[in-house]
Amino acid sequence: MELSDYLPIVVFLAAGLVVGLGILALSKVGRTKQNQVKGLPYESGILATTPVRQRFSIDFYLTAMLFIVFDIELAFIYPVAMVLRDAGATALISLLSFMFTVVVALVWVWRKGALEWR
Amino acid sequence: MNVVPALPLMIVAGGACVALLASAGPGGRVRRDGPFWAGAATLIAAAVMSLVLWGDRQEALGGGYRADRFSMLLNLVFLAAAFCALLFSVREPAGVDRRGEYISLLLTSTAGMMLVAGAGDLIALFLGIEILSVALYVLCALEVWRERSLEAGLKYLIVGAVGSSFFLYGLAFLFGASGSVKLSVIGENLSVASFTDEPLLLVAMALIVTGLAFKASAVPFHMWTPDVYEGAPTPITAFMATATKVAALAAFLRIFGGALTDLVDTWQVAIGVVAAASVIVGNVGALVQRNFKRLLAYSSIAQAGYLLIGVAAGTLQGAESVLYYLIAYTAMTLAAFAVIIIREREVEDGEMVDALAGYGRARPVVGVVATVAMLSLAGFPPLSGFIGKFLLFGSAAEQGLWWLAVIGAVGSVVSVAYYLRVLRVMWFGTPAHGGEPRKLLTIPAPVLITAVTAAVAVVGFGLGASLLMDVCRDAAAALLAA
Amino acid sequence: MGERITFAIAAAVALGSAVGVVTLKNPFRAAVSLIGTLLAVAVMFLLLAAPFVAAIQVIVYAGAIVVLFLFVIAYLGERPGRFEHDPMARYEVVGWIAVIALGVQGFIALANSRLAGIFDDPKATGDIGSPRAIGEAFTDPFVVSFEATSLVLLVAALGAVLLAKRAVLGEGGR
Repeated sequence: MELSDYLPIVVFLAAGLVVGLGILALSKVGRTKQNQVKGLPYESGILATTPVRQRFSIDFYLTAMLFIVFDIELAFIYPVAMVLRDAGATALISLLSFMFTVVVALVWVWRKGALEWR
Repeated sequence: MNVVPALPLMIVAGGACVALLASAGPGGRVRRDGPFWAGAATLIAAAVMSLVLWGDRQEALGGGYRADRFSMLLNLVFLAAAFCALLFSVREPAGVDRRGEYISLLLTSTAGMMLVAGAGDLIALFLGIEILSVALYVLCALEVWRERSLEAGLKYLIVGAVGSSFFLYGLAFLFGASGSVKLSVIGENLSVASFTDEPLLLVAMALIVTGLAFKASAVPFHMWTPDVYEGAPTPITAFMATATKVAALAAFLRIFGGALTDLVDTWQVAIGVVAAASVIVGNVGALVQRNFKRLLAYSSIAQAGYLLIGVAAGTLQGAESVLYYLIAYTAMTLAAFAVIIIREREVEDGEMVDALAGYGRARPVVGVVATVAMLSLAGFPPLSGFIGKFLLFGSAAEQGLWWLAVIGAVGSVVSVAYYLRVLRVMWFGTPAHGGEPRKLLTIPAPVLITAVTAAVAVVGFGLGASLLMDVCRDAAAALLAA
Repeated sequence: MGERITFAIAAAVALGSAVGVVTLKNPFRAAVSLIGTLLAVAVMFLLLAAPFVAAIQVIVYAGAIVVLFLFVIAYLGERPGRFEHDPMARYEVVGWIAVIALGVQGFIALANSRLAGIFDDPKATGDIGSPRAIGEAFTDPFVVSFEATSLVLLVAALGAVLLAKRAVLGEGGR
């Protein structure tokens, strides 16, 4: 692939940047009236009753960590899946044994209740 | 694709999965006893398989793993250390509480070490080091209710991650300079072209030495060792002090003794300086320790120094003495840690040297085990520790590295002071409150048997030295085999 | 020429964001600054003709791992900025010296290297970075590394659950 093939991505990023910066710039243009309602974190909806900066539960971390583990598993399976038809049985066996190990982790995590939200 | 040569590795990895599944399985019995028996069976099966595969090099699975005499001999060392750790952990808090996970992590770590010893390319080598380290980070912190244990896990994680990144950085440079990740091809490429003044290669070697020195706890990358050894559960410390050091030295030998052997003039001095510094710092640091675990940690830094002296020699004789001393070192360190494990179960402060006051008279068997271990670590003939040091220093002297041999010899003379202090306290000391040593409980049979076996091995390796040396010579020769 | 300009921009962004990660006082901002580095590295993977690795870099690193960092920061909660007497502060100089030394060392090594592709335009290699090429590498020469990765993932999941779940228990006693 030539580098120029990635031009659409650059255009997309540039468009995103223009929109974002444009909104920021437009907010500085003209008169602005401040009032209390506008200053709230959410202009509409439920008012925050507790401090916003609370400690999160460790479950967030746990879920994110397990997500990464299985995310990386996918990243490894995908390329092998691309060549599975050509590479034949050995590739399938190595893929299955790879997945077996990770599934063992999944079974254990599940049985230990680490996927439950408390 | 040839699977058979990788079987020991696959057995251990599979055993880790089985132990884990057993711990999540239904039924109390499977959960309680399943992991232990799965772990024991796995280790024995893998050891038998390693013996069966003893012979010339066989490449497995596209060359990523190589079964030769070198990797099979080290497999046996790793498996023996893991087996001892398994037996030490019987009724140990961390081992009881989460048996399956504990044993599974132990087996995974062992699998990583076996991968290091037999890796055919740099990627597998790095992955092996990562697997063994990550499993050990968790094992160190497993007694979460003890702050010390958490601290040990965290320190080991941070320092270990720094070490791993240096190592990986160095491997990337080595790949860049030599054009291949395969260890055998690197050796060929470097022997054909003259690379001695290629700066990338120098950088690669410096970074690899740094990374591996972290793992082997060699000076100046040793600072984590006393804290981590002290904080981790003692059976894990015993496993770390022996098997991890063997794995790090295996990586040293595979890279420097094997692939980069033609560049010996370039790396010899660097490794020699690290070795000398380790001997000095380790022995001086150990002199003032009152905690037995910390004392052994400093002693293990010094031992890493002795071992690196053999690596620095850069000859077949050097590699062979390193292998011999690794085996002897594993046996005597396991015996020494067994004493701590036994005492730790009886009294709160069992890891202090003073807690052993008069213990030798109260329990002669444990006393003899400790005596054998300490005398061998200090290097008294005819024990295996003496023979190993003699060979290591001899191989260095033969290459004209007299300064290294002298530093090593002086270091071992200094070490006699602290090793014998432990024995003096043990045999002639009186407990703080006078009379008998406090609380003598029955020692669990597996722990005592392991301790005695390790001590017998220390003596046996010394008496059967010539036999073991032949084995080590064959294993070292495999390093250079095409 | 286009490659060189792209590389220069990506390298500048990577270095600038990385400096931000270590110097920004607010951990949230530092973590977000890391995204800049990771995205710039993804661009470099594209330059190396490794589109699959670039995509993974964006999905796994800039996506999942930064989110994980943010969760950890959120778990630790609001912290007082700096300790009055940070015991590590006096080692900061040593850290910077080490960083500069590593940088100088790398620069000298690369400047004196005789490797192809540093001062001249590198020759194109075969296809090494497409998903198909990576898949072929996984199934033949590097199958051991492929399988070993699954062990790393197993240990990672195990460790995260063991230690994090213990932390939950630990907060309630024991």
